[in-house]
Amino acid sequence: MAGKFPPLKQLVPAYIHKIEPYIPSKPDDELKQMYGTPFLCRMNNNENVIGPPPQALEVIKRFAPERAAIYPSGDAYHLRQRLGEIYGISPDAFIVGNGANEVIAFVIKAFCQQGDNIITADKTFAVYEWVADFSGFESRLVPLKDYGFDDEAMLAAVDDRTKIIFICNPNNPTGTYWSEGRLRAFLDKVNGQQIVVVDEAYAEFAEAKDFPDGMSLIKEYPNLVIFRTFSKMYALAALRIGYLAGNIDIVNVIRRTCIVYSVNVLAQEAALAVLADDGGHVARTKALVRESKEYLKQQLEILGLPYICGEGNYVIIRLPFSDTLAYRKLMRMGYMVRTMTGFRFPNHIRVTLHAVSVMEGFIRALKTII
Amino acid sequence: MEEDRVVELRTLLAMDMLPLVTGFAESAAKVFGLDDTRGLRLGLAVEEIFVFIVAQARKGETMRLVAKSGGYYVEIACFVSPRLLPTKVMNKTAATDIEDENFLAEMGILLATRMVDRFKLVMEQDKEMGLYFLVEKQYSEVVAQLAMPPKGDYTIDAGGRESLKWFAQQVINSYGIAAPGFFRFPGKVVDMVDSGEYQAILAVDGKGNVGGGMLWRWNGKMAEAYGPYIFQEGLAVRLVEKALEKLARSSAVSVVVRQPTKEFPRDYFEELGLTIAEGKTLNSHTVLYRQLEEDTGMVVFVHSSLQKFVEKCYERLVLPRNIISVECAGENLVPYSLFSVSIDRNQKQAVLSALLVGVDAQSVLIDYVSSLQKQGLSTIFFELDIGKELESLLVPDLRIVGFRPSFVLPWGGQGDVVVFQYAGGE
Repeated sequence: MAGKFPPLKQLVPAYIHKIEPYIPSKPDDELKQMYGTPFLCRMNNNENVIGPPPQALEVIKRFAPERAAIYPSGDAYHLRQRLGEIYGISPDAFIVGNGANEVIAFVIKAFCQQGDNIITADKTFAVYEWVADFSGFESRLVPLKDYGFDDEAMLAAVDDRTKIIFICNPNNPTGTYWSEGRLRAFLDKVNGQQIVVVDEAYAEFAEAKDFPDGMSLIKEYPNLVIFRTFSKMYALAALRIGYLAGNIDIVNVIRRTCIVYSVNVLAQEAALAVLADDGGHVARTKALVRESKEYLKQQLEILGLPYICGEGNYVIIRLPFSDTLAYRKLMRMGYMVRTMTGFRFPNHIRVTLHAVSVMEGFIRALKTII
Repeated sequence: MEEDRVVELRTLLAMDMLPLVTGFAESAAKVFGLDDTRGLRLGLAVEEIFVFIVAQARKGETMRLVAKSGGYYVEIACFVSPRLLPTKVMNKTAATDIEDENFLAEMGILLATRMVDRFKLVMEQDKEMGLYFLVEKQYSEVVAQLAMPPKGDYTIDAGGRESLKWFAQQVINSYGIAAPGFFRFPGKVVDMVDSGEYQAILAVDGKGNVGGGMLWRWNGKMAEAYGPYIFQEGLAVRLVEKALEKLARSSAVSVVVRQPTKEFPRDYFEELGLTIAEGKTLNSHTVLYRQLEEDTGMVVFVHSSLQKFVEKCYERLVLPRNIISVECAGENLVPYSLFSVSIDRNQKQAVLSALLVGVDAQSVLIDYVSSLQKQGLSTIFFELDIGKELESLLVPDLRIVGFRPSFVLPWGGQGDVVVFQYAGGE
């Protein structure tokens, strides 16, 4: 080594020292080799097992490889125009990101400074908490109540340094949701004092009649920011594209922290294509999820395994032993589930719903380990 | 650790800086709360090491000293270039008998290590060698007969200082010698938790009664938990679940419980194997372990003589591992081995691990064991990191010296760690 090694203890901030890096799962081929399984059924990331809508597949197939040399639109211009038309708000009220994870970071960076805090639930999607923590801000975690976000307790946790409240609706992993009435009541009580982010990553899966359309509330509540993703219902997870929407003045503040050109051209064009879907893809997906959910619930009741099941394309199962051990045993049989200890549900696994024929195989595997 | 509890000094390695260095150490010890006697011990340790290293140093070389208040202890770490600490010297430091006059004459460093409660040597991430000297504060032993708490509506939270002190006393009342010795010092337990190195959860009712609790500390990527200690039925599962929730998104990737209590709900954890705590009576404990994350596999390097043992452990634990068999084929090794030793005099326990694997490993290990036993340390472990290619070459030496494989601790180091326990020489 020619140069002197940098003094990491001095260079790295204290709050970064405390954090362990998130190590993503290894690629499927590596995992199959490690666990000695000839096939691998991914039930861990809540991907849509039907795959992308036909319009998106066509765009991906037609993509001319030589276009890889050209930068994409830096701010997803055409996609924002189309989103603006669909939701009846300005195209400038949208920010498109490299997956919804990226826009979480944009919002936190835009509003928080040292000493500030964000509020969310203890048992929800981890990224709100992680981004706040590794940015040096406090994340205040309010326990779920009956597996759902506790509105009163969240309001009680607010202080004059609270900048953002994150609500995952429906909640990942419990599938609970706030109705439109409950969301409105909450926003009324917040009274514009904090930014309220409603993450609707799984909204398109919701079947409940009183499930709210957050996008329609933006005009009434200028402090409301909605997250959506193309990764789940529209099955573009590999392309990494999501967006946020809100009041244009609020979004203009968030835009100051954005990294432009972070969304590739194929993702932008595939996302634009799925917006042209006539509803057939969503209907097909919902039908599969509905049927699979009913089958799984029935089987779990036969097996005597408690479960948590609400909206979304996933179900949580309570096991009589460690979820991380269950992961390893199921992996040996080719079924990759999500362990729930990291979501603060020890001894639980979350399972992405597949077609019933696949779920039958999963149930057979589950029976051998319990 | 709050930043205002850390102070730092960088100094040239020159004898005329000695008063500055000892002044720094003694002042830091005093400010951070050590009594005069203990502060002097820490000051003398730093003085000895400074004098020794100055003798090895070239003109212009420096030492960085970092004093830290750990709440229940004060630690001074001395960071120097590895060149200044020849491996032979470092091994001798921990291994040599205090009566070895020849060595003593040249090794101030040995004296330094004997003056403190804990000493460890670490090759730092930024390629400096760190010598850590730690002296604990003195606390009053409080062992009182307390009434058992009544049945009631207990909630699990961090608890206050008085609850924690009451908890510590009740642990000793209820579990006696099966509990770690630090519970005999309630004030120390409070400071351990305040330091941030330990975390506690207690079951407390509305009247301040403590129905049970758990404690854990971070040890690298692993959390080491104690308990759950239960004084009122029905709280064990709630305590373990809460502990796992607290650890779920921490820096820990796994939890180990070396001495689980009889109330421990086993279905949350996996059994690793037996470890035997030697004392007046022989007690065996099943070590419990649990991952907090999904295991996506790793490559491990295992000596052929250890392969069956390791494979059996992996099969039982369903751990995906690519095992690469390691065997010495006459290749050159460095002349000197370098071992790190972490000593806990309270628990009469020493843990050895390898920093450098060299040709003299066996003789150095024999010296270590002899020295540690003479110091009254009844339990000696060797932690072999099989995520590191060279370490497995130590296995034949470990067996000859008298270490036996006890269990595999997944992700206990850079990779999995095979924990050996000293069982007597051949």
